[in-house]
Amino acid sequence: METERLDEIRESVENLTRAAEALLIQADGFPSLQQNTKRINACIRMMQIALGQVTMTPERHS
Amino acid sequence: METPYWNPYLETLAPEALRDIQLRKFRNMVAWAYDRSPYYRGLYQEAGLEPGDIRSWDDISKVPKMDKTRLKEGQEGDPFPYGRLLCQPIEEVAEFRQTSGTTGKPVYQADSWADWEWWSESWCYILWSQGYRARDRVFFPFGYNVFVAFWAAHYAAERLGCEVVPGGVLDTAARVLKMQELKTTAMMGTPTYLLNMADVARNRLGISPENLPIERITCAGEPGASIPATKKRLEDAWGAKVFDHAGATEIGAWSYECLEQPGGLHVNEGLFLVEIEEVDTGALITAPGRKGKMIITAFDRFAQPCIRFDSKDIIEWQNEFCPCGRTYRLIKGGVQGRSDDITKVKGVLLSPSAIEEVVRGFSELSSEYEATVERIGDNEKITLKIELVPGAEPQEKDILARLSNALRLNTNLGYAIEVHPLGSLPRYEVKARRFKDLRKIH
Repeated sequence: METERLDEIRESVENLTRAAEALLIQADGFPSLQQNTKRINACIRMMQIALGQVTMTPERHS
Repeated sequence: METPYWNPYLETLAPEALRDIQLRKFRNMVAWAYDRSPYYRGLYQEAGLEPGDIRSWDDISKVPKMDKTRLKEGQEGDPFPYGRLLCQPIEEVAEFRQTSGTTGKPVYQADSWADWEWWSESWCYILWSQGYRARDRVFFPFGYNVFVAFWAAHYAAERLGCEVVPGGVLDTAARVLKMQELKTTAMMGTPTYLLNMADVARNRLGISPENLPIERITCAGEPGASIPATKKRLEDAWGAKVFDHAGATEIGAWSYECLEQPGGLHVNEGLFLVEIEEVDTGALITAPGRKGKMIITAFDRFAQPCIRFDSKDIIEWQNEFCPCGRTYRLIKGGVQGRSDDITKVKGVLLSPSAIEEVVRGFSELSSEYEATVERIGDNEKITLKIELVPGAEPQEKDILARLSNALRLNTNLGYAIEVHPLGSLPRYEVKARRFKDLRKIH
């Protein structure tokens, strides 16, 4: 695949990641939003994996 | 525009770029497990290994291997039942599955919701490569339970947009009738069970399975669909293309046969690292042409990682790349056996799959058989129990002579062959146990 197109896709996924992270904070105390956002996060992680990215680094989560 | 690849980026990536991703992901998994799992940390510390020590491909072999014994050891203690293997808070575990426990206590598998997504994602590669599309109506003749089997395939088929028909608690006859009623176009199961289903359709229901609109079948759980005689028997029985896949509860869905059917399985190298080792010496095999046992790492499964797991599966790299255009390497002939199944009889190495290849090559025999090895005094004896299909009885003597010759040619051993009435040998729904070594019991 062309590098330019891949870069654009990666940027879109990164935007989704940021939006989902923000939503998770906003959804505190709102179980329906919070749990569904966690599922969105899992889907976003599959997109990162599909793009060959390293996810869930210990530094980010320890 | 439709593409033959589920992932047009990873599946066609240049091998050097793929190796770079694999090394980065491997290092990340080791660091993750070291930081999060008391068991992995203890194991690595005992070996004098820290995550930063993994800098190049040569360093991978420094990482201690896991096996079933270590997995069970790691599951002792808290939090129950995953113990010190668990890398995330137990509140984040969303799915429980377990191994069959045929070799003792089962291994429990913890998956977070993201891990479960990963499971079905790995199955999407399989189904897409085998031609499953949104137009398919897919039947699952499988008893949804604590074994992972086709759970992830169910969700992968959904993700592809297929219409999924769960055949759960129906018995075999009811499943066949439901498939006929709904005109299902694809299904999945173990080779053993799908052959049994075809027998039930034909002999009990009077339905010709080859006339049902099943176009494709994906097999898992047993190596049968990569054994040419078994694959042909399945394809003839159902009038459908039959594809193989290999995976395991502790590992994930790590391989698949694509539409080209190149005589082997693609390793999903974007999600897994497969190493092949000499069975006796543990030396790494990198070139095609030599069999060894598989050591495998799943890159993106985080709640209960699988790092350098000794699967006991016997595999070998295939020489050529697949004409499908994937750069994922092939393993020749699929999983060729298990290092703990290959046994010496009368001084000769015997793999049970070699018996299957011979028996399933005889159209005069039913799909069921049973081989037993026992010690009688100082001698060893292999008994092979078979069933003749209706109409073959008059040729029994000739069939037995040809079978005996074929077995001797393919396995270098002589067999005491017993003919049993059709339908009297055990039938299996999941994994069959047709090879019994009684020398280990007595």
